[in-house]
Amino acid sequence: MNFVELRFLIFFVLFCALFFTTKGRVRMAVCLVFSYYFYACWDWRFLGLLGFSTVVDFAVARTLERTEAPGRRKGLLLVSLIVNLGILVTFKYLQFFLDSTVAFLGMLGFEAHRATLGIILPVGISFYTFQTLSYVIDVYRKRLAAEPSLLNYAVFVSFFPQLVAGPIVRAKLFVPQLREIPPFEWRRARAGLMLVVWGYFLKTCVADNIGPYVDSCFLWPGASSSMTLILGAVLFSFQLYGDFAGYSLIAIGIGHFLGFDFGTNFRRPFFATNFSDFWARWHISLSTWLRDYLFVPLGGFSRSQVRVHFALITTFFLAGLWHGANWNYVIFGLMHGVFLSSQRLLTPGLERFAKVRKGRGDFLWVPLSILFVFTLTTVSFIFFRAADLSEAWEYLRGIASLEGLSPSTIRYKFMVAKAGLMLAILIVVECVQNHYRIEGEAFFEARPGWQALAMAALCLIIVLFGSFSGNSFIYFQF
Amino acid sequence: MSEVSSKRIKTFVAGPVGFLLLLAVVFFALDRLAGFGLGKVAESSQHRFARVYRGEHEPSILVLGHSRGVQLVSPEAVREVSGLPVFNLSANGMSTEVAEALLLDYAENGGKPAGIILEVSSICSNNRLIRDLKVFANRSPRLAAILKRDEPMLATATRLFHTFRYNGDLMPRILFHCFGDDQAFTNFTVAKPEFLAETPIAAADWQIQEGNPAAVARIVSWARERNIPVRLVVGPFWPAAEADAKVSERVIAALGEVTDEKIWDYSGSLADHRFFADHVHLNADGAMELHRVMLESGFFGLWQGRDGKGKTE
Repeated sequence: MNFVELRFLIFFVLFCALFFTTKGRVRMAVCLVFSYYFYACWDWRFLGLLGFSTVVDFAVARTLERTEAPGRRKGLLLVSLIVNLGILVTFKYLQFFLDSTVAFLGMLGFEAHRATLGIILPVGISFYTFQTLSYVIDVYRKRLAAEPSLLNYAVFVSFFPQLVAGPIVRAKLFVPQLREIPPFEWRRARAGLMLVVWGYFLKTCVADNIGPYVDSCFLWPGASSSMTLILGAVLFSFQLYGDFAGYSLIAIGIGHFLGFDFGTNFRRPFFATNFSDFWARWHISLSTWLRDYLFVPLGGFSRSQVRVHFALITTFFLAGLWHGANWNYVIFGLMHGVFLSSQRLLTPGLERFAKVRKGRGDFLWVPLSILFVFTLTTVSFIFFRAADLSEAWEYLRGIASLEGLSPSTIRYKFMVAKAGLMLAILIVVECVQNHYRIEGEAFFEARPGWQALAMAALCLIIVLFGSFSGNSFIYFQF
Repeated sequence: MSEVSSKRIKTFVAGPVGFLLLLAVVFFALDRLAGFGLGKVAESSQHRFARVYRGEHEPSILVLGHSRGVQLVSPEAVREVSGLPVFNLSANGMSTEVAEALLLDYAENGGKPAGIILEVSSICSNNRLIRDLKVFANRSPRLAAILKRDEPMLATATRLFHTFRYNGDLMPRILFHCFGDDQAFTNFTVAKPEFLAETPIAAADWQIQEGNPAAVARIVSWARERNIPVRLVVGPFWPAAEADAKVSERVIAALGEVTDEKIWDYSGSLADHRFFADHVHLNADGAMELHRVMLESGFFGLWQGRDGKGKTE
């Protein structure tokens, strides 16, 4: 079941009917049953895995709270890490590690046969594993009290809006909300609906209208002109943004409607003027997770510059691997590690330059910085989108060949025109938000009439331009 | 308006009932207004489908088929040999069943086909084009019936939301062709030989769809009853692709069971990559080369005068 299906609407209406008419433990039980049903619609066989991970981390956290001996506490943390990462490695990375080992042995001249394990990747495993890991680590660091109710904890791990593709909600933020769910508040629900509608616009109008064009570019990069490929790469950046930010907004909006706060996952990432700014705007729940549980422990804030660069590269290498068991994702992650590392090396010079400029030329400097970050990010997304490294190289070779740079060589012009119109709406809205520093929720809070008009117009745009082919969300595969 | 009543309205709109009511009223008002406006635009467009429902036809040779029919014949070359204009009704993904509905609608709206050229590999296309053709479903009971049968959810949504009729890939084309017809479309793409060699076509995409062979038989009978010459054609495939997928073989066998009309098989008639846009589509040069082959094989005999020019000229 997916947010863009009619049956999800029926599911959600039923859920709301029970959620708002129950209280306390019964309400939590409703959340859990619906969340497990939602997950079972994807693949019921992995419900046991979800339940197992939940019970283990609940038990470890409870024991951690009662234990003071440092050695025993470390041991308990290790148990949780081994179980969670063990599950993740087995289901997501084992085949990749085996294949890579066979390829490496082949390079050394040893002949090894490739074994196919036929393991299916449980949907959402990367998201809920990171969520449970952060909970146990926070309890271990004594930054969070262990949740006494297994029911509440199970809802925290499996709550359906953000179960399969995030945002990765921290226990510190979400678990206290489960203990005391605020009563239904229309103002909040209205803001949630607005986020949901904007999320649907991003998914059905932006991402899904761009998708077929991008698919055709990556299917036959060798048969496309350079201009077609450049446009395909640029459009993929927006497709990915529309798809993932769309999902996140629908999840966050549903949370709002029900009375929960899941935080923010995207904040106009393509307005970033440098790479750290980009990661402060793109998949925020993952980037802050990586910062707190990987980058800092690896020495990210150390005085040694070598250690900081090591922490950056390692964090982004693992961030790439988190996305998928494929060298493409590793390259994608490493590229961003290198971008950030280079930026850090250049920062003193850039700061001196900024002092000399004293804000002069910002009208040129800021758009150029945005364009620079967008261009390099788009190149990294080619690795993200390609099926394998050879396809990514073929795509880049096709662009670099500079064969066919005339706009007349672009294929599927009607598709491009429609996608362009949707992008224009997105860009205008985000430019206004960025320029006036306004967030939709705050702007519409005191203007319900305007909000109704904006929502009606958006719904009309979705009905007229939305693609309703039942396309799945890209991040479900992670 | 007094300050008190303005405040009351504001409070009402801020509440759930007022807000949802305003949302619904504004949405449906915009939907009906936009639906009406887009309908008017669609009616006045020069796009091939809009022309079917607007009438205003001169006797023409009608070309029907899916994307392979779009660039099957050169309109100028056919006019030269037949003296008749060509009205190409082919569209990407058009099944023969949908083509039949369009043909009958065309005739019903004053169209006078002087001949029909049907690219019959379109019996491998499903009825998915009906999702786009919902633009005209309120003008055609035939299209409405196919939509209701094959896409009942879409049919309901179309009735509920008038703008939803214009959701799809067809409306941008209709808008684009508001001021000039789409009959001059020419594909100049030349397939790279390595692309043709390396990428096979999927035989699974070329399975004969239920209902289509019977539609071909009905088109043939309908044309015969009205003494309208009809030509069933299989256009050229890139030879290696055809050898893999054997589309023409299956199409000819399937049609042989439902009609005795001759099938003009040109599936293997061209073998130079410069004539192809990809494995299954000709480009402009390909259409001209095919025209030469067709002339040699007597394809245009029915419409051709003794001097090789059109009978009507």
